[in-house]
Amino acid sequence: MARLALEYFGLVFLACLGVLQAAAAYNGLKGLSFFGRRLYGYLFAAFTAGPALAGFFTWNGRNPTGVIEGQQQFGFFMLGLIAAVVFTLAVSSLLKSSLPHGSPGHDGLDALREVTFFQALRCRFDRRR
Amino acid sequence: MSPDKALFLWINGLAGRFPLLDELLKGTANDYFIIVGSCLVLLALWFGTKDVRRREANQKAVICASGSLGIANGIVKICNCFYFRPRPFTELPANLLFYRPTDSSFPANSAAVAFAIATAIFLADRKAGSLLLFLAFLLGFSRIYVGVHYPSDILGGAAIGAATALLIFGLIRLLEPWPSRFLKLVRKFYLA
Repeated sequence: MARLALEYFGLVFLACLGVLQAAAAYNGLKGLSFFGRRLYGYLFAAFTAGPALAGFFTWNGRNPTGVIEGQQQFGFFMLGLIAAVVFTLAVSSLLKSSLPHGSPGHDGLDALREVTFFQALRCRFDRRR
Repeated sequence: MSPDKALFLWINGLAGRFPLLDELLKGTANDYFIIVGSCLVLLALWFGTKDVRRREANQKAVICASGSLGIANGIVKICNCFYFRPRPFTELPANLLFYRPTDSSFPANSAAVAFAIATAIFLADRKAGSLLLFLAFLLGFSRIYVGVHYPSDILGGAAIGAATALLIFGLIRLLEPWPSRFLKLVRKFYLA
């Protein structure tokens, strides 16, 4: 069961990572992307989400009797999703720390077109002070 | 023989004739591929919508889909406590291409979840919703094809999923401005 859960979590994490990079590339969210060029974002998505989905597609071939119950599935999916979002925010903020600092001109997700997540947060807290 | 069983035997009778189709539908029938794929579409809609107004509508739809998914799953569990229907492969000469599930055949949990997600998104975004509805239908058909559900199980699950999504969609509208306020709060942390 632990092996199945770990496999499920890993595949969800990879798939979510890929989708987040594809969404960042499509939406022009430079502060959320790991890469400088959109094409690399799409390629990364293809090389992470693609194999992860293939892993789900062939699940029963690899685990003929392996079943994760619905509620456990939901729990592991949320865990994988949150891990992927946190990882993306942290890694993109570190990789793109060279983006020009300053108050983002937009609110919400659109702020990540100009600055990274950490830069945007710092700016918000600085303004409060 | 009931039309439900006759339709099951007709669809499931196709199994084993075309090896490539068998492999394809074994993949789409499993408990993970289409359900996780649908959830990834929700993630893409949350982060990948360019227009701000469209994004807010899509994010509300994602909230609706997530709520509907959980509630539809709960309703199926409650139904299973009161009613047990044996799987078709235990009653009929089925071509089983899958492992042998032991829980109740009716209503189909996977169909309930897939249709809950698809309906919730269809109400906000016809394009993404159509894709998700196609995936939900494919899941339903695959589950009959591989021999683990009767057509009426899928219909029951789909009805539960769609009805739950419609209910939650109405509830979210009724609860305004709270859903908008929630999104505004998430937007403050640059995540919506």
